[in-house]
Amino acid sequence: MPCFVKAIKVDYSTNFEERNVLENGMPYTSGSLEIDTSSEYYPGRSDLKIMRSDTISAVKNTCELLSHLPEEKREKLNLYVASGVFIENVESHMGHLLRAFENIRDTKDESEKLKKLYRASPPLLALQTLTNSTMSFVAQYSGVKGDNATYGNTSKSGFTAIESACKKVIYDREDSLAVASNTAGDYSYMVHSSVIGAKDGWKESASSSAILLDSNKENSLCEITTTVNFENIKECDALFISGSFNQEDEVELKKEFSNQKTFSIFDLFGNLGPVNLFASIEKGIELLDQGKKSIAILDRDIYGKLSIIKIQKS
Amino acid sequence: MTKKKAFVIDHELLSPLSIGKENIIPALRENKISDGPIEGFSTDGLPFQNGAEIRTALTEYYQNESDAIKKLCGVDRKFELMAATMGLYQSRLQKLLPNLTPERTGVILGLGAEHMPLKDYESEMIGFIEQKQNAVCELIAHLNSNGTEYSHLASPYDIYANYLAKKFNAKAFQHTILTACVSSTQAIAQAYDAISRNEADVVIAGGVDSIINLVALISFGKLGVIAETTEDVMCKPFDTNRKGTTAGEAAGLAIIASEKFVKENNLTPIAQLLGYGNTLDAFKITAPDPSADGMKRAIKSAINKSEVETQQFDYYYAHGTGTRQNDATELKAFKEAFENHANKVPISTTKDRHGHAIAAAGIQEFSLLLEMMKHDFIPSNLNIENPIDKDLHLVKSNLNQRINYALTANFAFGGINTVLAVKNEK
Repeated sequence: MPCFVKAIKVDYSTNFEERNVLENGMPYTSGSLEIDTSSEYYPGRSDLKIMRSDTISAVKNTCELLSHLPEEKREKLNLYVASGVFIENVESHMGHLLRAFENIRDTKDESEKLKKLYRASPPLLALQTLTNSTMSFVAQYSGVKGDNATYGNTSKSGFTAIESACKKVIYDREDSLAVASNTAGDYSYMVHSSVIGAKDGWKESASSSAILLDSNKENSLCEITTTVNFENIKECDALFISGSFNQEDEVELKKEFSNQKTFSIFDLFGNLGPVNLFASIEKGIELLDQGKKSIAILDRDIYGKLSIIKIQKS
Repeated sequence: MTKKKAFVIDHELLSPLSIGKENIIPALRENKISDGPIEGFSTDGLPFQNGAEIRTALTEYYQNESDAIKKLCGVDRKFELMAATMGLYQSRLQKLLPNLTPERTGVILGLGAEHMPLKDYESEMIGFIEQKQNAVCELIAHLNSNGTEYSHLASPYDIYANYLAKKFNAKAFQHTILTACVSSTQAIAQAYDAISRNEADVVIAGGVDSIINLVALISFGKLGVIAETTEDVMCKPFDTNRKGTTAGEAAGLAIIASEKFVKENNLTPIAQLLGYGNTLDAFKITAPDPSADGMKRAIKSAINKSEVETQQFDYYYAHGTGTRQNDATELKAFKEAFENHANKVPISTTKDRHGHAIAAAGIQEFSLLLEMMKHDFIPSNLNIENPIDKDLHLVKSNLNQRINYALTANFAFGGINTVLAVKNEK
């Protein structure tokens, strides 16, 4: 049973800035999302207090993607989500806590310290950093109620979400959604540079995406396969690569596939974390529309794990 | 495609109730309550002084690990619990390893949110606050200056599953599930999928979490889900006077294998996973849908997929957190799903004994259930005085009774409902 991409939406960062988060550190480029607040799917005020911008974007993307579907069909959809880090802005998420620590610095009594810390701690911290926040808000606003999981939090989780959705289509013939959201920002930079070390030309940006998959070829954008091995890459007309966080790694990655026509979105957007594969699929579909027959899409996560997807004309 | 059978061949647990699976049943029989004053850090001044904490020193269980792992264990409680669980499992791992085919072995792990041990670095923090613009980032950079895979703070969540995959030489897949209180329940459910679809011979499914740290305790406390230390009995699931749950911590693993693997290796399965239900409320992030629709669909779906008649289920192992909203909604869902049979099925939770381990709740309770099945034992709801539903069989005294088919349920913040159907293979 094949699996088809019925619809896809990706939101990319539009605002890029060079940030120098550490006093003696290297600058890096960070991209943030600009979200259309006039959208009919823009969340309610009480929810906004605990939503990251990538979560808002994922909600909006998914709702737009499913707007043509009747409620009873949406309810039956399965939802697999890949999420990046859960702290969007260290200052806004942890600022209260920091100030709380600042407030206790002159307090000698331990009990009084904790009382002050408790009083000054933000009441919504647990919800602001809830790991399944994107999934739950997407469900709440789109009405999706089926099987589900949230995977995290390297770019590999994007593959796992797409693979889970594909398998549900293939094995159970149930339409499924794969959603990814990437927070990027200072905390993400700290997490990832802690693993591979900060390097020149570091770039990452916030983004979100949603893909609707089903078993019906009619009106589909392409066929998608997740059971692809390294050898299959050569059989494809083009290759999209992703996973680099900096220019040096990007050059290295491209060198590994120099015998193939490769494309990458790194120069435009930097690393998109779990959205990497989704973005490459969107761009790959554009190539299919221009006449290419099949596209291999490869992502290498921060630990060097490869994920490969193939898309081809339906 | 015919679905393959998925069997549980082994499990291990590190819990406030029991260090190792062999101590689970004695702890349940003697009605051990792990709830008590938190010893790991000072709670003086907070509304919550108690928690279900693992009070045993764990270093001996991971003393053979590398220096990097040991260092990480010193600052990351979740990693310490995971490494100690592997220590408990070590001798059986050596027996299992030669039989595993790496490309047919996978790891699925449920994890909770990271709660940075900021209080541990209070003096450094304050120093950075005074001198630097981005104190948290400077602290992370300062502590992670060696930049290894096993950094001290703010590592990608995948390090836990990667660590397990290395231990089991598992190369088929390594997934990290982050769905709060159902994380490890979903890990077991997905292990069932992987085996039943013939994608793997063996899946190591489990989870780890701890909210016994200052930031987590404050965060959950501020949400109003932790019972304040003012009651004689803190966690009273299914009681009209319930005031909240008890903070907990745990780590556990279940080894799920195909029938082929069981036969080829002449193993005796403990239980069979029959299926699961996994739904979304699509209601709101802070509370379960009061109509109980999502929970009911999860329970019914688990029953339907198990291909066992509703009346054959002879135990419902409840999520039963002791919070106002969860317990009432859960019983409503159970009643509607079980219809005429609802009052015949024993129902109990064990969170009144070991607290709420959030992302590890599922694996902790799954591990307990396997031992209950092995020993023909159903634990009571320890602190129930005035049941919120008098029609249902909310177990009041421990029962020495065989469990043939059980449902074990977990429900998460954000309206995620996961229920496993399990068959006793004893």
